Amino acid sequence: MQNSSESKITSYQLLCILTGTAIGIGLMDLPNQVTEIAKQNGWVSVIIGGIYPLYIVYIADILQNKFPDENILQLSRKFLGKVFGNLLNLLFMFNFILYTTTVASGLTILLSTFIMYFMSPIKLLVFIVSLGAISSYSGLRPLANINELIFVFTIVVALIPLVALGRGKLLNVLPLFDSSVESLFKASVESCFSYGGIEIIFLFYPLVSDREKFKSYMLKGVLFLIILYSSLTFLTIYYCGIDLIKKSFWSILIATKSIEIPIINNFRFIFMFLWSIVNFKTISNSYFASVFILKDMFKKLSIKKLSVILFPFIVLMSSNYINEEARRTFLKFIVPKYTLFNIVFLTVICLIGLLKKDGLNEEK
Amino acid sequence: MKKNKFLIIIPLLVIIFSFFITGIKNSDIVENMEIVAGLGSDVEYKTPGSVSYSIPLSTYIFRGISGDDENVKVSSTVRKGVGKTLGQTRENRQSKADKKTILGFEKVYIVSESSAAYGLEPIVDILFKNPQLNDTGYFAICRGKAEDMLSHKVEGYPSSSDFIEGLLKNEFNYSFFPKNIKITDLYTSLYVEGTNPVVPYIETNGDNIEVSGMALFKNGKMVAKSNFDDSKWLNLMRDNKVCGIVSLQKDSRNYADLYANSFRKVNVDKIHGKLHFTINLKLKGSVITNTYFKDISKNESAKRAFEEKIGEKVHRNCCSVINKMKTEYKTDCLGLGKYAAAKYGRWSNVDWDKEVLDSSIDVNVKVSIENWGRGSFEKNSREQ
Repeated sequence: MQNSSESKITSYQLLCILTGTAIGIGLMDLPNQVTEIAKQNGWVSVIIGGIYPLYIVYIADILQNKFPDENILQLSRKFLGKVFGNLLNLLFMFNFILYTTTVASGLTILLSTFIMYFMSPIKLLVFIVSLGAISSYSGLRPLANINELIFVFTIVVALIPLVALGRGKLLNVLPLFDSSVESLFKASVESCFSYGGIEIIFLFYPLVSDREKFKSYMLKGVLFLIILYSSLTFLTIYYCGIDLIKKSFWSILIATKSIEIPIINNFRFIFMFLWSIVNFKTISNSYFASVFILKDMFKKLSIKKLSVILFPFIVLMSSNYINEEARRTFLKFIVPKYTLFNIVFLTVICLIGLLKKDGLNEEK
Repeated sequence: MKKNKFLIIIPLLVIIFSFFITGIKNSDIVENMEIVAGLGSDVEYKTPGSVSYSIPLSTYIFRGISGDDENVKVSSTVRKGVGKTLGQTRENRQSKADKKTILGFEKVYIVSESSAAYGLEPIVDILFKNPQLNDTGYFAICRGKAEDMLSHKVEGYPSSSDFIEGLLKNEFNYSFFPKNIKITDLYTSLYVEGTNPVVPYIETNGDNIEVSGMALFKNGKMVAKSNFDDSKWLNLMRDNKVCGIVSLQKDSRNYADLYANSFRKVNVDKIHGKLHFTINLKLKGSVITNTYFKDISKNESAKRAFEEKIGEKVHRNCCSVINKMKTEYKTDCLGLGKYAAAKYGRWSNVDWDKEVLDSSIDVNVKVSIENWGRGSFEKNSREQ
């Protein structure tokens, strides 16, 4: 167990974890959120929203250069005192609890709507969360390997909506830039939930074995996210037009549902299968991140024990918003606040870190 | 130690398995299910304002021939449910059926003309909400009752739905019929700014089922039907990359046919505050038969004259359809509003239907012949 927490991961694996934590259920209704405000230019807002992850990576790079052996939790305790630092860490942890629970409940709703209608949602939820708990139980290295594998899956899933290219109309994305700059920025805030999750790199950067590659890999990961999100949003608008997006809860699915493959009568099942694999990894990552932060606070308990202890809480919390309406209202309420908290918290830590001259030498 | 492990794991597996397997809803054996081949929608007016809905489903029946289970004969029957709401039709249908129906394999969705005139909203809403439905099924409006259309017997097919699917699937080869006539394409055009759905219209003619035109909609309600010839030009102007035959005829012995592929481009601008559309059509094609014009494969000027004549004919027909659209159909069936919306901004509460009907529409046609076939049996010019 000590081995697993001490074991190192490569920068590439961290890239997979970064993208793996971010790409989740939020992507399914990303076009809905942005087109509501920015209309057919929603995809531009998604690109603008990419400023947030870029900023996060920028801060992570600074901290990693200055304090390569301490993660954000240790730093916040060091700079802000034990009590206040731990309190903020706890708040930071609820970030990941939020991602775990909302993605788990979101996936449950999606699956029980489309393919698993024969099972009661709560059972499905128990199963989905238990998968997260199991992978978190097995530690960081196996998790990194899972992420590495599913990264390939993600690319495959992301390529599927490309078939919409042949069927859409360019007309649907015109006129370009007729929305006001204000609405573009407003909509970009909405895309934050889909970018959320990349804060996970602050926990794991001291564990990276090849540090010199850290920055370039993280930038590549964020770039991948931005390109994936904006192109999927663009494709959805391009295929359905903004009027149909408004009518569908999971607009990205419309494009994939129209695919016709000989022999296979209904493509939905295949897509859903791939998509749930992608989401299981999102849940596992956020679950592990929550456990990781708890472990940092309660040093006596192991990651394995904490994974088990957290399980009922996560199930309980996810089951609170197991209908789509409640989930979306909750997310609309909490996500902007948490994004703001993340920015402030990480910026403050970074600024203090910069002000403390030669943090490294001081220690020695 | 190892034995103990098994003692824990096996009961654990049993518990987990029974946790997930119990209380599973809707699971049934195959013999208890009915596969739906086609779905219809009818309405019946009770009083002028209110209707009762009727949803006929064409379902397959698998029956072994004379007790032999290996040679299964597939036939179909129509199960109808009626009710004051569309949900109630399901209740009503189940009370008459011996099996459970499963959706997801529908080949066609057929809506009767009166149901379409009442409004597509109720039926499309229940179809769109249901995630199990097959989105790649074809959508069509039929004359008379959808129930009659679904129960119509077509020789060699287990159900008429199978035939209609093939009918709609292959219609795009000729008569400038659009390729995208699935229910997904209805979703992308119904209640979408600046466009109105145009849906194939089928009817029975004696024993046959045939496509006889297009049903035109306004605000989700069917307002008119264009006949087969008009639909040809309407589709040519409405869709890009469609193919069909344009013919020039002098009498029944002398005529020429061009099998053309179309390319369409629409420009829109404002002249004196009114919209002005220009539809640029480019027809490229091959002459499939010609007993009318002499020497068009050898003589450049004769060829050009032929192309011009074809263009003239297309132009004339298109203009008459546009005239009909403005005076008779009174709906933007060409979907021109979306071009205006894409240029002048969306969601601005402009009634594009009205704007388009008030606008001026120009059609430019360019024809070029690419292929002459392998030869010609036209009479040689020296015989003249």
